[in-house]
Amino acid sequence: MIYNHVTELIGNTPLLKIDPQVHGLKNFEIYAKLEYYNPFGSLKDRVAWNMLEPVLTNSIDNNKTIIESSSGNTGKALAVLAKVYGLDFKTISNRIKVPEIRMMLQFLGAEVEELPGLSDCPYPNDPNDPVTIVRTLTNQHPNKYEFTDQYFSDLNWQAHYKAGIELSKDFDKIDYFFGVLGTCGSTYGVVKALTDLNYSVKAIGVVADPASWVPGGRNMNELWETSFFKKDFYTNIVNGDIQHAIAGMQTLNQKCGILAGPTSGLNYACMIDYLKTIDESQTETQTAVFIACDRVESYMNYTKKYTPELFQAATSCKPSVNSITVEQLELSRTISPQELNLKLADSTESTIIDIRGNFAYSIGHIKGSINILDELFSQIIEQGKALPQNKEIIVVCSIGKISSKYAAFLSSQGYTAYSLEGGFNNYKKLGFELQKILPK
Amino acid sequence: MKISSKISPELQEFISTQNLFDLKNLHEGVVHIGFPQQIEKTIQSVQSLFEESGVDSKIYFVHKATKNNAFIKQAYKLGIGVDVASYNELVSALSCGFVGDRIECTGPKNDDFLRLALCHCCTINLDSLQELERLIVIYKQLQLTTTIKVLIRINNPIIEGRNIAIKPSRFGSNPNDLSQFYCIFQKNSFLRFDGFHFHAYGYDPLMRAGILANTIELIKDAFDHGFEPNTINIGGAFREKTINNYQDWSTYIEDLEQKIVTSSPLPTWGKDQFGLFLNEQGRIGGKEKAISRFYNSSMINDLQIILNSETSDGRNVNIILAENMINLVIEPGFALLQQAGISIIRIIESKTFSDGRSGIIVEGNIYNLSIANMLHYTIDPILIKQNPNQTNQKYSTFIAGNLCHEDDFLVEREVEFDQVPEAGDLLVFVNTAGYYAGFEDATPIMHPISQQLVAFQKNNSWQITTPTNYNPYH
Repeated sequence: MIYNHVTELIGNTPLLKIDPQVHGLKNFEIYAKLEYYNPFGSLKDRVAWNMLEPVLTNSIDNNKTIIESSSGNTGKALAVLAKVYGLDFKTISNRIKVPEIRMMLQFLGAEVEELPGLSDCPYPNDPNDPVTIVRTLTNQHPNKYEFTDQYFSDLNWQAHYKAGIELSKDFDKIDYFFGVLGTCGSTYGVVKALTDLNYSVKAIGVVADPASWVPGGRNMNELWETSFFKKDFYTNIVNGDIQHAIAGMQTLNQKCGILAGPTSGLNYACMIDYLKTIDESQTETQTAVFIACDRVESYMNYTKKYTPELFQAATSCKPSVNSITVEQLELSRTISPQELNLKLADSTESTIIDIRGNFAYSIGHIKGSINILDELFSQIIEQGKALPQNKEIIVVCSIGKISSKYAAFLSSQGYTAYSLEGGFNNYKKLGFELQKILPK
Repeated sequence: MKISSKISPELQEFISTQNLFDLKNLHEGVVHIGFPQQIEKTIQSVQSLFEESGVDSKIYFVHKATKNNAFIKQAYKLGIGVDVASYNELVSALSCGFVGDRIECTGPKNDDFLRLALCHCCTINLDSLQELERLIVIYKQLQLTTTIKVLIRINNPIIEGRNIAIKPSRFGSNPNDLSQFYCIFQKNSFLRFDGFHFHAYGYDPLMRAGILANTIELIKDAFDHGFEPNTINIGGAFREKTINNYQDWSTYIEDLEQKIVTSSPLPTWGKDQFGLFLNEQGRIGGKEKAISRFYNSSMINDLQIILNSETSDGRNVNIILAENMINLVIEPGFALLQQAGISIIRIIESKTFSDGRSGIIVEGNIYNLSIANMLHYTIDPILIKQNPNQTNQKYSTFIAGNLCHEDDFLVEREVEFDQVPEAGDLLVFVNTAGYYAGFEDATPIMHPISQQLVAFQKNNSWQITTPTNYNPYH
């Protein structure tokens, strides 16, 4: 099918039925609305275009910069659309949590400004709210900025209203709609459309458990501010944690071929948990729909952070410094600073490798040692035998911890290798003579 | 709705076994009780975290977080340093046994403060070139011959590759001024330039880690100028979890949000909405700030995040610190004083306000129990009944102070008790040792300032004494 403009690709996303074998529910048919089929990869493409289209002509005529507070998909979609129409885009956000998104925004030519978060001393009168800051900036420079205002503009939920109408074309009845509450625009928009069309649909809001968002101590409230939130609108609100989100994401990715991200994973996992509790009591088949809102690829670092164990299995069976076992480590040989100092007299016997950073090496190192940075040294010795075998190898790090792994690995490869006990720091503290590289 | 305090078994045990009425009777105003032994566990866990990561570290306990000297004595016993911000704090630290090499001086310093600090060879965290010049004049007047360790406080740290909207700060010096500092150091050999000091813009550990990585670059530059600095002080401002169930707070804020949107009566006094605001379209903003009034993590977690974070070239911060033998200095106050204090206040009477809501008036005021800028205590205090057998009955009330001031409320929320509070009953505010206990103590309308006491365990029983009489080696 031929399209003339990328904006024509927004909306009309497909529906995929989830195999009952996967969800295991007897009385439910479950469908995923694949919103990541939108051209920039998420449900927010609808919002971005719906907010931008009405102000486009004015913005082009006055060469305005489009401004928004977004750390995610809205920012990404607005950045693309702005560029396509020759406009600049700026986003102000208090925290861009996913580094891939920041890089993507920069790559797309967006100006990214981050707010430093709360100040050390709490100032009660400082709202420190990115939306307020964007609004103030826009009010100060009305001719320079066009603020799309995703948190407050009705154009946000109205964009999703269209998705609700799309659903009505495929279903005569929808009993449950599950949406993760972010700006709350998507769930509100979709369910409002269905209700307006006389569907009797129950809206179930899914939220992340704030207590589970531990690292950095922030929570989902920050990530997905809930400005269109109307509590009475929802039949129920359920919550799940980050492990839930990742487990749900794995099911969608691996069992359904739906390569959706953690938000969708959370939605799916919480939906299944909820429906399991009411499955038995159903007298007829019920239809439930949820949104697969964006794609998984940007969230690999995020996923790895919370479930590092999923990524360990992927390492190859080739021996490496990091795959040294506890038993091997116990067998690794050490050399005391005093013994090492005696050996220094005859450099033909041993090669001393200092794996610390170059700056540390330049301000002080053991006489005759060679500086090869940790990561580089492991690459060199893991590719094969890159050191003379007739010499002892003494590995030096700062405290003798990492070097012992190297000694163990090198021993396993047939070398006579030692780790310097207590590392360079101990050697220095004992007052042995050091060498320096003088500044230029 | 209830927001209960996190409470350690020790404090819980103290409150339920001691006669708090007798303690309260020792003073007519607010009584703060410090538990100096509580700081030991926190210090040990920080020290073992650093030891594990191979990073040399120093903890300087921030004196300003408490006026109770017992904590300073305990800090001395535990071998950590102390950070002082005024002449009187320095005198206090010296009186608790500290000598100069375990004292650092921070903040605005008058001549008296500098003079005493120089005489005792304290480390000086330099705020500006002007302060440095004044320091040199005073050093020469005193005809000292000692070496003085100095750090430069950086006020405008940047993070490589990130565009952060930096708020102007009145503290510290711009990195562009470093060459001028270096010139002065070279001409005055009594100064030993030890490194840098910064305060992050907020509480985000990753932000602090980013600035730390950048400060390591400043250390490297200093070596090119012929100096050998080995210290980076990353300041204090570590947060801790202080409420029992963090989820309760977000539920509270969501409920408040609903009430604001629907113009329902608020469970707060006046217009206080914890930073939530209604915009012109009738929707809520400021939620992040409101939610972030409380924290769900800890200093230990944040330090772990900082140490394990990666620099722009993909190496771990702890490894870089260890290999360059950089001493990482932290200045915790609030975080060290977790679960180390309670405050006892007597109820004068119970009444009904003009809008029909209930209030209790207490024998104390906001100056006895608030942090700078009048940040209120927000968590429910514990009600201690004179008549413990009174029947249970849910009772919601505001807690107002004894000032002639409409806004003098000790807790800005309406608080729910299980029994009806009456005149003569006590309120116990938990976890007040850090800042809350008398930080802003003042005597408006000649009410007394609050009283600091000390509780400690000896031979498995509780002992009460004054800060002056407290002996950590008992």
